Order: sequence, then structure tokens, then C-alpha cells
Amino acid sequence: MKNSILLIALTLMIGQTAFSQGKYFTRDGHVSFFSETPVEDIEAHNEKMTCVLDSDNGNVEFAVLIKSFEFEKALMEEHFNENYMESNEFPKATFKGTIQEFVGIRDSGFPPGVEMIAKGTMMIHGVEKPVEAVGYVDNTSDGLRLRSTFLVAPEDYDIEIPNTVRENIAKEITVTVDADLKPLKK
Amino acid sequence: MKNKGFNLLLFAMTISVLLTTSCGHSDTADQKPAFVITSDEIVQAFLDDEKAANAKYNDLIIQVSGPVMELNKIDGEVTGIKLSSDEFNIVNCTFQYPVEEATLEGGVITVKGICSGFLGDASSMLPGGTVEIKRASIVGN
Repeated sequence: MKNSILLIALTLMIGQTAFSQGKYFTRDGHVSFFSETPVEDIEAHNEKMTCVLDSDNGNVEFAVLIKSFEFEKALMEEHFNENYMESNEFPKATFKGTIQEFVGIRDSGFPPGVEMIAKGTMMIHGVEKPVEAVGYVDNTSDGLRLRSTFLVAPEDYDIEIPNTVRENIAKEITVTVDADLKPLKK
Repeated sequence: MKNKGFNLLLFAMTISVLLTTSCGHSDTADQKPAFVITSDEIVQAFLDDEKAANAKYNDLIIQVSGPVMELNKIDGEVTGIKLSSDEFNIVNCTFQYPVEEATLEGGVITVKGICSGFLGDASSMLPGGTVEIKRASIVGN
């Protein structure tokens, strides 16, 4: 009986210590956007998003180079960079914020399916806006997986869409983020 | 006669628009690099003066050599490679087409691709920075 209690206690301790606190990061996060209109669907992918999460307090950062978004069609990519995002002038998009109530969820072992809310500042096209996004954090074998899907309105970030293609681009673009984070060695 | 010329012009423009809007990306493997540089040198150029390096390298085909730090794989295929001799200052390449892992054997790899710029921020929780190369192809090892 004593041995069983000891075994259960040990198992619980190992379970709790499997997740080590500190910073987790990736330089290969995936971010994509999707614009859906009756005229055409437009999507682009970027496999080089950097993301860092401080598991001590839930602070989180994302950053992408606009020019690293890849489109199927070369001309679309050119228009995206030159005409809409003006990526020579505004080369990066970033988010810096904090996942709300992160410590409590972390201490519960990141139960699957628990929604988290990240609050912070998004910077796109040189314009900063306070935003809230719903996401999920899951334990993985060697770190954490962070996922989120949210909407971005180009108009909110002073991204001008010419009248000639206004019907081709959605008023709200769906952005999807998926990042496998590994421990950041000090 | 004027109408015929106008129609011809309209036809040429339509064909031109159709071709350009439906075209994919040209292969970087077939193009000459604008610069040949090591991974440490290009990262240092961005760390020294990001604005100047953006103006010099962005959107151009760059041939970069450096020690392999990490391979990026999706479903068993190598889709990208990180070149660096230190853990935090990296050239991060995405291949235009997935490559065989066997072709990446050896300590130093040379790739060429389009430079997208530099991702790094002194105020970030993540130290160092990354020069990003997209649509890369293997030149040799």
C-alpha cells in the first residue's frame, strides 16, 4: 500500500516536472493568410515566422518578414509587396503581447482544447493596433505547440486596395498561425 | 486600318496579362547570383546596418555558403536549411523544391535563393537574428 502511494506520488511529480519553465521559441513557424471573395481566393504562406513564448509569465512575440510570404503566382506576390504592403518601407509584421491567465493553464498541464486569449499590439504596414486573439497551447514531446486563427482588416492598417481590385480582396483576411516551440537554451 | 492596329494591340495586351497573371515563379537554380557570400558575412552585414543591407541584398539572388546547423523537414522531405556557425545568428533558407537529404551531406553547404531580409530585434525576447532566403536551391557541398 505504501509502495503504491509512493509510486503515484512519484508519477505525479515526474508529470509536473516534465514541462520546464523558461522561454520557448521557433524560427520556422507557419503563418498563412486567406482572402475569399466571389471573384477569387488568394492565399499565401510563410514558413519562417519567429515566435518566442516566456512560459514564466505568458509573454509572447511573433515576427514575420512580409517578403517571405510566398504566393503561387509571381505577379500576385509582386503586387502584394509593392502595391499593398509596401514591404520595402514596412518589411516586418509583429505581435507582442501576453497570454491571459497563462500561468494557471500552464500549471494545469495545458489541458487540450482550452482556449487562451492573447492581448497585445499588432504592427502591420507600420501601423500599431491593440488586438486580442484566441489561440491554443499544447504540450508536445519536446516543447509547446501554439495555434491561432484570427481576422485582419487591411483597412485597419492603412493598407489601400485600389478600386480596380477591391472586389478581389476580402474586407477581412483570415490569418492562421501554427508554431512548434522548443526550449530556448540560455 | 486604325481599328486593326487597335485590335492587335488589345490582343497583345490580353495575352500579356494572361501570361503574367498565370505564371509561377522562375527557378532560382537557373539564375546567376548577384552576390556570393558566406552565411556569417551576410548576417554580420545585416547586424551592422540593416537598412543598408536591405538595400543591397533584398530581392536579389544571393549565393550563400555556410555550415549546416539544422534541416527543416515536412513529411520526411527537406524543405529548408539553416546555415550558421552560431546558435542565434542564422541564414534560414526555404527550398523552392524539396531536396533529398543525401544531397546535403557534408559540413558546409552552398545554396542560392532570393533574399527576403532580416528578422531580428534588439528589444525581442529572442536573441540574434535571421537572414531569410526563399526559393533556394542547392549549388553544392
